[in-house]
Formats: sequence, structure tokens, C-alpha cells
Amino acid sequence: MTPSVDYQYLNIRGKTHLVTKGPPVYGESTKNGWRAWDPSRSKLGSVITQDIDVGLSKNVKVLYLGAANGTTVSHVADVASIVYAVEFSPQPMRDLLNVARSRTNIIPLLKDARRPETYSHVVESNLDLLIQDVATRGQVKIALENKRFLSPTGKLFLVIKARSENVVTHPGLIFKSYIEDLSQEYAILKTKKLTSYHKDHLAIVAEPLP
Amino acid sequence: MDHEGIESAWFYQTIPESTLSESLEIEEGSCISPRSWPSMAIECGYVSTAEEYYSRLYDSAFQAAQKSASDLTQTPDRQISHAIRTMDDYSRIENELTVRLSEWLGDYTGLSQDISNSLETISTQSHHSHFHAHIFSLHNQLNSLSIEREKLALFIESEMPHIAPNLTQMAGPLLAARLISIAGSLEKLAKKPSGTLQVLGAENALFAHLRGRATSPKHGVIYTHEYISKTHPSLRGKAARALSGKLSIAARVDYYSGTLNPELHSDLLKKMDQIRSRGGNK
Repeated sequence: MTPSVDYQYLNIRGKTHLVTKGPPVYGESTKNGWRAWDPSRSKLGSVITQDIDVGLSKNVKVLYLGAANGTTVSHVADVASIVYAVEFSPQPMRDLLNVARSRTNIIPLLKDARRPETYSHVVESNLDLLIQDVATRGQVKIALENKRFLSPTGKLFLVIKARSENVVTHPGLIFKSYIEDLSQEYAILKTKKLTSYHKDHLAIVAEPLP
Repeated sequence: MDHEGIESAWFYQTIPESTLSESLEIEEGSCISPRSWPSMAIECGYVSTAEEYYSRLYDSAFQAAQKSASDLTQTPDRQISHAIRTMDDYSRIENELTVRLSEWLGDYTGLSQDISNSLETISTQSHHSHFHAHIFSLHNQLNSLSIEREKLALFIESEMPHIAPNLTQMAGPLLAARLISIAGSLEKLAKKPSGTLQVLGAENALFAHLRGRATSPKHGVIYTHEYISKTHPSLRGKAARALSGKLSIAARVDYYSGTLNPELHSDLLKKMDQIRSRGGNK
């Protein structure tokens, strides 16, 4: 665990937390401007605490699909230089807008991640990181369609929620067919099942193939 | 310098310095391939620095997202969904509190009688314990909940004919509102196949069936419709299919045209007569 300026581990009131620097958002513990990133509330946070490199570092430009209430987005925005935050549903968007009020590097977009052509005129190309955490069918197709925003050296962090695809099929089978489909256009670097905090979810880190 | 594709950019051809026109463009514009918009914006003189670019984008995107979010949530069908859910919450809480009151009264008076008699018994007692006031206050709360629930039902009944005239005529205002609330909006209801509408509200039974553990549900909340509840059990599946078929047509007419079409209703009546006359109708 190498402490860096992007995020680090800090002891707050007797407990070690993953922390990022920024104004608090959801009542998390804070210390000297650093605020705890709760791995039980954030899949990305949970993967980072397991020492997996997801490509989030200082000054990267990020496209975040499935921004939801902005809990994870707020931590990403503490590190990244700019975060395009796409969310489809108007209710979580209200919370996301509140998060964006204190962070002007979040560009909120009420758009459907399945239709990247509706935001390609706003989101720039050559981004460093694509984070995808959407609860809908066709999650792999979304990752393939949104590859157009990634720079050739960029990274994809994808969380697959098996239950969104099909509640009946065994999650293992869904993950397997997903990885196959994804491999057409991405080189898979790492997969990790998120069992402890997030049931039936698989996290994938990948690089775009040329 | 390569400016190809700049005409699709969110900042292109907007009124200079107008966040409103930019946010409209963010909402409604489109393009196939993203480009290096920030550097293009600087090169064409729209902004002079990257900081300025992102600050303009932030302001316009924020406004666009705020506006489209409220456009989507401030619709009458969303409000009616909240109204019917509140009404259902009221009746659930009323039931819980009624059970609580009757248990408390039974223990307090030591008699087995209904709520109004028990209340009368203790109100005529000359000696009051300090529990007395709380029991009466619980009873008052229950009364006001019930009044509020009835007011809400009247409100839904008066609003629904404007929101979905055909659906309301066919299903009745409360069931129509409940269908909209389960589907999420009138638009979503209109876009659902009638087989889905048929089992709305029976999700647990449906998923048990899909997992292979049960038979398929015949009906969801449309069970409360008299065409189903008053049809003989052996014909209810058939009746549910007929009713949901017409209900989904009604929802589509309501969403796409919004005018009342009485023919729809008489079609359904004919169909129901047919089903019921096939025998077994009690």
C-alpha cells in the first residue's frame, strides 16, 4: 500500500480508512480534509481496498456511466481532473447535482448509457478511464459502445451485476459469457468477484484493444 | 488544423455567452464520434483556455441536467403515483394501528368487545389511569388517517380522468392509478406488453414461476377488477388476458392521443360477456 496524493490510507478514530481529499458528501468520517471512502457503499472503493489497480490516478479524465447518487463519483472527482457523470434516472440525478455543486469538475449528464450518440457531442474523446456501473440489461454492449471515448492507453473499470441481466440464470454462467463477449474489444487485465459487500457482482479491469 | 465534425459540438452555433442555449444543445444534440472538444473549442476561439471551457461546460450541463430531471418528475402521472402509494401506505398503517388499538383496549378493559364499545366503556369510567389519554389519542390518530385516506381517494378519482381517460373508464380510477404507479409512469405502462400488465403486482409469483418453482400467475393487481374477481375461478385466467389486453390498448390511447374512446370499453364488455357465458360463471 503505497500512499500517494491521489488516495491513501489514514487512521481516523482508531480505524484505517481509504481516503480521498475533498468536501464531505454523505456523512463519512473525515480528518484534515481527507474523507473516508466506504468500501461497503462503493464497488470501486471496495476493489481499490483490495489493492487492485483500476487506473484511477491524479489528473485523469473519466467517463462514469451509472453515476447514481454520486457517492462513488464524489471520490473519483476528488482524484480525477474531470468526471463526465452519466445517469439515466431523474431521482438519483437530484442527489448527483447536489454532489456536483461542491465539485465543479463533475459534468452531470442525464443520458442513457445505452445511447452514447446522445452525449458524444459533449463528452470528449481520448479519456483515460471509463467506469461503468449500470443496473440494466446489455451491460457488455454498453461497455463496447462506449469504447469510443477511451484513449488507446485508457482503462475500463466495469462492474457487472448478474441480477440485472437475468434473475434466473446462475451468476457464474452470466459472468462467463460476458467475459467472452467483452474480450472481442477489450483485453481483460483482472477480474474480481465482489462477494463480501456486493453480492452477485463481478468487477473487471480491462484495456481497449486497437 | 482538423476541425472536422465541429458542427456537432455542444458549443457550436449556440448564442454566445448563453448558458440557456448551450444547455438546450446539451439536452438535444447528438453525434456519432466524440472528438477533442476542449482543444477544438479553444482553436475556434469559443473559449481561450481549458479552464474556461470546463467551467462553461459545467454551468450548461448542470442546468441541462436539472431541467431535464424536473421535466421528467414533475408530470401529473408521477404525482398521481405518489398519491396512490400514500393512500396505500395510509391503509396499511391504519390496519396496523387498528390491531394495536384493539389489543390494547382488550387488555386495558379486560373485556372482549369491539373498539367502539370498549372506548365507551372506559370513557364512562370515573377513575382514569394515565394510560387512558394515550388510548384515546391513538384512536383519534386513526380517525384522522382514515379521513385523510378518503380525501386522497377522492382526489385521485377526480384527477385520473384527465390523466388517463380510457384507462380510468375501464379499470376505475384507483386501479388505473395503481397500474401507473407500479409501471413507473403512463409512458412506461403504455410501452409494456399486455402480458406484463396482466401480472403487474404479482412479481413474486412471476419470478417464482420463472425459477421453475411455481405455476405462472394469472393476474396481479388487476385482480381487484370485478371482471376478474367476480368471474368464476376457472375462467379468471381467460378473463385476465382479455382485460389486460384492452387495458394496455387503453393505456396506449391515453398516452399517445389522450382522448376518450368509448368503443374500447364496449369491445371489452362484449368480450367479457362471451367469456362468462361459456359456462361456469357463478
